Amino acid sequence: MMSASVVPNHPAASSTPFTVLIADDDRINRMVLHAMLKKDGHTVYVAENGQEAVTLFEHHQPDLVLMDVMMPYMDGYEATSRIKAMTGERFVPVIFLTAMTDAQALVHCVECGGDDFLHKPYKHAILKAKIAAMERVRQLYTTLQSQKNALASHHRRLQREYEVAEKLFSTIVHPGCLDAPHLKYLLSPMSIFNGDLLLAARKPSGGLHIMLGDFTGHGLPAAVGAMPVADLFYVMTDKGYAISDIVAEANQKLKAILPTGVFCAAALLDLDATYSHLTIWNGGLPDVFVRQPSGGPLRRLCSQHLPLGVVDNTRLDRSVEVIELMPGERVYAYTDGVIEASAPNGELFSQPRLEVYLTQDCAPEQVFETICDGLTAFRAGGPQRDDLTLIEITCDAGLANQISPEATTSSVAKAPACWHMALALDAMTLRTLDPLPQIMQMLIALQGLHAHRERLYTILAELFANALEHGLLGLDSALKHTPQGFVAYYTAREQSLAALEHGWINIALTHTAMGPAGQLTLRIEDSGPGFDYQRCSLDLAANTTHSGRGIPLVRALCQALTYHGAGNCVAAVYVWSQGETNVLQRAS
Amino acid sequence: MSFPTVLIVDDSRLSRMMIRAFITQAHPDWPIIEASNGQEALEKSATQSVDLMTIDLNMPGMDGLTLATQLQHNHPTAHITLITANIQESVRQRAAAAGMGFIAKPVSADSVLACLSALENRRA
Repeated sequence: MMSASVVPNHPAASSTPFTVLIADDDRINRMVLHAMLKKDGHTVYVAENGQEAVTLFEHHQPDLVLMDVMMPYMDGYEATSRIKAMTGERFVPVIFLTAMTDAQALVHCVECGGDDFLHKPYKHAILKAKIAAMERVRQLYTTLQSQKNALASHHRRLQREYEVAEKLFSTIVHPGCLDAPHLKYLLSPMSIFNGDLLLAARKPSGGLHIMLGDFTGHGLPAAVGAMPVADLFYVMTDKGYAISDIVAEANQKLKAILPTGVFCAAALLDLDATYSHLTIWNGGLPDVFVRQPSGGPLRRLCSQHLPLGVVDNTRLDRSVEVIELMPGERVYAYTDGVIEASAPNGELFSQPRLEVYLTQDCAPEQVFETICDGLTAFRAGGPQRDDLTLIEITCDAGLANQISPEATTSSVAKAPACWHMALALDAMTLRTLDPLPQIMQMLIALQGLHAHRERLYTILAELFANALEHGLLGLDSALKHTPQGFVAYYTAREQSLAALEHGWINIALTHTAMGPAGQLTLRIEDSGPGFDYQRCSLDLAANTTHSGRGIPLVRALCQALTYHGAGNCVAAVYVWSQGETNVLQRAS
Repeated sequence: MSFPTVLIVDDSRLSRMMIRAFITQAHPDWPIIEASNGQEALEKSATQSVDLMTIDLNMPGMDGLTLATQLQHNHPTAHITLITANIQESVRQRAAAAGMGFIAKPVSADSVLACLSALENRRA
């Protein structure tokens, strides 16, 4: 004999007292069963027909039912069906009392909800064993039921937490001004949380910042890093920082918070107000393409850097690439999800295929849709393996300037006050720091003036650029008017600035109150040789700085614009009054 | 002694880029070949000697272990490292028996450099 038994032993089960309902029209049968059950300590109710059984069941909610088949008024099948309909999530076994051996009848018992049979004549040991077996099933059922409930409530809690997280996530990682008329984009995350990041924000000087990022992996772990990055992208863009500064901040943040091996391949794009040039930092994203309106060969902006969050800031290369743009050109940036999308046979969409779509003969305004359709057809309903993002930017300053400026929450200017602020910048400071965001922040803190921010930033940026680029660096603005001139000018600017050893720029802001109005005088003086401002007014009119606006615009924005000394000092007077919420018209 | 040639096989462009960057950081002169699948790896390595290979285990088409076995046959002296996110014990044993190394995903500068030093020890 085998010493191990596969049947678990449940000595306690048979001694558990139950409430049992007996339904039988035969008095002798009832008495026999009643006696056996009483002996085992169970509480017993007896019914003489099906109808009575249902009524008693309703009142006493017994744990077990012994049910005869053939009874007057209501038979056992019907009574069992009704009882089973009343038990809900509770498991109440029904054991049919039968002398039948007809297979069809037995099947009918089970179909009505019967759980077992007890054959006449009744034997105490068998009844006891059957009740014990039913108790085991009932315990299993109860355990399963409570586990199911625990799982369901756990799932509900997770769902709620997920919803809260998703709301928080989409508030912080909001799409900014992605819905602008000159932008088209495709976002196809694998789950609720996107490991790809696509952000767009207006710069205070006009123009646009765009950030496309792709975190290692996908889902929630990949999306967590998106929150701090999105936050600093919007805050820094709003304050007037350049993309190389945003790159440095984002890199530092991600290097600190992301676990080893998790990083963010990203491209930051800066489009100036006139959409005449693009400044880009591409760290690890696939080639960004520029397509001419007529099609033809693409211009390619390759990744020059490691992704964000890989090296610390001392080893980070934040240098950017600048290219000229022609009206109607379209810029395409995308994540690996696009070129690594796979067909059902495992073939990848691939960058060459994307290039075919970009170079094929197609109306420029149809290219984006053609790529999206091509991608869908290629994947043919196959599973998505990664988050997938594609954006198209059309170089159309007219369209772009239809972006309505976001409403600022604290747009109330403070009552005009009297204050003076002066900043002296030496060569070393000028080499390493862009003072404009700091000055704008001070200006907003002191006087509010959110509504005037764009005008003030433009005035400050143009005059500062003139002082630095012409006054100190001695750059010739004629350079900008040659073909590829802007890029040459930009390169010369970067080189001269990096080599700047001597010189200074002093910036002074003076604010005075004139009743309900305020007057801001901005004075910028540089250590350069100056210029003959009385004779050069024509040159000045033609001069545009790299923000693409120029002195004529500044003159239009200011009450007065005057040059002093040898021409190395300029003063601009800007007058504002409370309640005035004009926004700079960018239509040129 | 000429610089060792490295073959990086991975279906993820980003993974290839990171491994390349880590290797280039330590050894800017080492020539590097990239392939995005098994077929491409066999073609690109057919006409030249390869000294070090990193092969992603889980790729569409030919799997990394099959590829590694073929490449080992073609380049018996090369040091092969398999890269994978979830290492099954059976795969690890087969690879170890064949003298191949392992790097767990995500790949870091340290793990790649460790695999380079394994090669340098072998060549020393």
